[in-house]
Amino acid sequence: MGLLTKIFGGGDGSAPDTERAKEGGVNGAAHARPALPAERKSGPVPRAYEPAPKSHPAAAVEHPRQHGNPGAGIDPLRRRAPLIGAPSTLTMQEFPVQAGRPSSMTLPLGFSLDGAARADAAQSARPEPRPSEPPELLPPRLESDIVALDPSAPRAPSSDAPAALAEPEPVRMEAAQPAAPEPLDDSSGAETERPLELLVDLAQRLALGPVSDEWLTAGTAAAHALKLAACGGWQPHLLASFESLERLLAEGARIRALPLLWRLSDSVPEWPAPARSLRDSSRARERRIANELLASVDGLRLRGRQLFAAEKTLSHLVGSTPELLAEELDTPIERAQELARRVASYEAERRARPIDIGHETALREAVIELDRRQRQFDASDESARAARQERRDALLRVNLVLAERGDLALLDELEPMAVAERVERLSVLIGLGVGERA
Amino acid sequence: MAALSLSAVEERVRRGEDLSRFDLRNLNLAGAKLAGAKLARAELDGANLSGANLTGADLRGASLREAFAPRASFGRALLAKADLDGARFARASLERADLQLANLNGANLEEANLEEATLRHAQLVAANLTGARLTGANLSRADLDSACLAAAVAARADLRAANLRGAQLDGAELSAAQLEESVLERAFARGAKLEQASLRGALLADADFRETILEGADLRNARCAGIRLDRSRVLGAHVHGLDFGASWPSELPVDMCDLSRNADGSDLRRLADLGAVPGGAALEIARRYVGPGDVIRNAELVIGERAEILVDGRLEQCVIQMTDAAILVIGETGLLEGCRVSGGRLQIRGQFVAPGLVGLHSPVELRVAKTGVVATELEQHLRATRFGFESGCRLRLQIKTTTTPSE
Repeated sequence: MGLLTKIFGGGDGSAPDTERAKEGGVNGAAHARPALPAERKSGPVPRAYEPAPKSHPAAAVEHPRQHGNPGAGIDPLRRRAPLIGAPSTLTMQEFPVQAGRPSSMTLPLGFSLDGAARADAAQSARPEPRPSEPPELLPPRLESDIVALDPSAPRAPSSDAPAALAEPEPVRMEAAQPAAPEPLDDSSGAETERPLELLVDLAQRLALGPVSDEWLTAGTAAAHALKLAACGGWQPHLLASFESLERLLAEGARIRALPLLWRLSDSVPEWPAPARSLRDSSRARERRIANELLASVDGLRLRGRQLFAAEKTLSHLVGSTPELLAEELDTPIERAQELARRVASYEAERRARPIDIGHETALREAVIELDRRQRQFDASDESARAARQERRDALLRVNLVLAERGDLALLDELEPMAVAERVERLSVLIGLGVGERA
Repeated sequence: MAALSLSAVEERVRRGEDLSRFDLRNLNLAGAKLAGAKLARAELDGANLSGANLTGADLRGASLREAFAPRASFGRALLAKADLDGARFARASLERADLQLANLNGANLEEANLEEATLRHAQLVAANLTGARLTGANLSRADLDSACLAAAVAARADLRAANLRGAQLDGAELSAAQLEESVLERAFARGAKLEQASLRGALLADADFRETILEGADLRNARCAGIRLDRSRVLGAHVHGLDFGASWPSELPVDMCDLSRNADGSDLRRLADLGAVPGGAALEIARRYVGPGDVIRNAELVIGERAEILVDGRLEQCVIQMTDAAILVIGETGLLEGCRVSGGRLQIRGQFVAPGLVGLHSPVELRVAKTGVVATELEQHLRATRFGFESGCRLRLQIKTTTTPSE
């Protein structure tokens, strides 16, 4: 697998979507067809910041509430494609629109993010080797590589061919990738194969607060990989930024790394568009997390909770003493202590999270746990108080993971649902089978 | 049965059709206009009713488990015996709704309007009623175990015999609320306002009543072992028979309380003086209480030294043996019928009826208040019984001298 495959990730060689390519693929590039949620059994959880196209096939998936209940009125969930059900790679159709940049400028190495080759862009944008650069760090010539790796694959269309008439068969991403650099150490392992994706995720996590050493190590490795890629000609003007980021992450300097990540989120063209404006999106996620934590303790007034979440940061909530919380939320110290205990528990859990890009594992586990608690609650007799509380805690965990991911619209969508229905909905979205839940 | 769409449901309701027992589970009825709908025993589990108008709807016996109904209007709706387990009714209007015997366990009624609503015998275990408006609501005998009523406004609410064990009542407005015989064990009522509230005979063991306002509250016969009353205000509270059990609170308010049994303000003292008067439950006095509605028949009771029995219930054909220092108080609602009482000091505000037999044998003292009724024969104590009859009492009493064996 080439370096840039590892940088951008998602190059799984999935079958192309012929229809979408015909509908308007950029420069004739075909797009990887996003998997239907129902089809996905255990695939990667799509990122929250990936918007689903209007014609997203997931929008046509029958919602579980429709089963056995035909004509059950308007299902709001069918009006929109699920955020979480979007593909894990951005397509060229989506990217320039959201990023506001011309695609030819953002993808100089001759491929789109879904793995399709773009010979014209690659040929024109390929940097000339500098005298000091080793030739192996440069991206290979596109056409020759395509032919060499996949002789049966059709040639990329010529630059003057209409996009709609372009050959839909994409070229596998590996074909256009340079070799990946060696990881800094073994601990970062497989995660460095997707350094940019990891860095995006790390940036989102760092914006919420400190993360584990494991994450910092992996982030350092990712920054190192991107630095090497920059050395090799990919976004060379960001070389110094990646160098600085590598150093800061190695030092564990979160606060100093954040502004750099904010800059990178706006500078790296391949940075997923919805994940840009990291500062703003982080604030929205913080608010939601704070709201969820505050609502988990009964007795706090609604208005007070909303004001607190709107005006205070998550770090303020985490760092506040019970006395301060009691004063700011106008609540007795006993309740403030309960809140502080919950916040501390959440923070400790968040900081100890292992590397899990896109919170895939965390979300899967949280949904399984919620399902289990729901079953226990259903099976409990009159003394369901404990089971109810455990179910509530499990629901909080799911909501927090979704809020961390930035799936705020999905959270709003799930809010009116009963717990069992939420479990069904989330299971479909993340491809969780009934057998796995059981 | 095929499920209906929002517009179809609205249309049927508009035509006045009966939708009883309809299956509307998980349906999105947000903002629906369903005023006056006939939905008795309908299934609305998980339905989205946010902002819907169900004013005056008939939802008796309906199932609305985990329904989502914030800001919905259920004013005057009939929800008796409805299942609202885990339903979310934040800021909903349930004014004057009938929720008798409804299951609201785990429901979220945050800042809901439940004024004048009827919630008798309702199940509200672990329900969230933070900031709810419950003025004039009837919650008698409701189960509010571990419920949260923080900052709720429940002035004049009827919470008689309600179970509020472990409930959170901090900052709640409970002025003039009726909490007689309610259970507030381990309740957290810090900063609650309970002026003029009636907590007569309530169980307040291990409750946290710090900084509460209990001015003019009726705390007679309340059982308060382990209660915390730091910085609470009890001026004019009626505390006759208040029982602190074995351990008195470390910090007692210094306001003047009314220790008179009649709660007429005739005996004003500090709470700390409670143990020094007969009406107060001193540390060493063992007390027994027969509450209103309690009936004891054909029992033989022995009341030991310095013990006290308060009867607001009914004792029939019982034999009660008391030491001279023991006290028997028959409250205004108390009735002893056909009983035989030996020894002790008797205070009768209720009725003692045992015509044709010696109901009172050698009591040390007999005091009958103006509300008291005594109809029996009395054999005096060896050292002559002391009598006190308040004007207005009704007596049919035949007083005899003691017949000793030597005579």
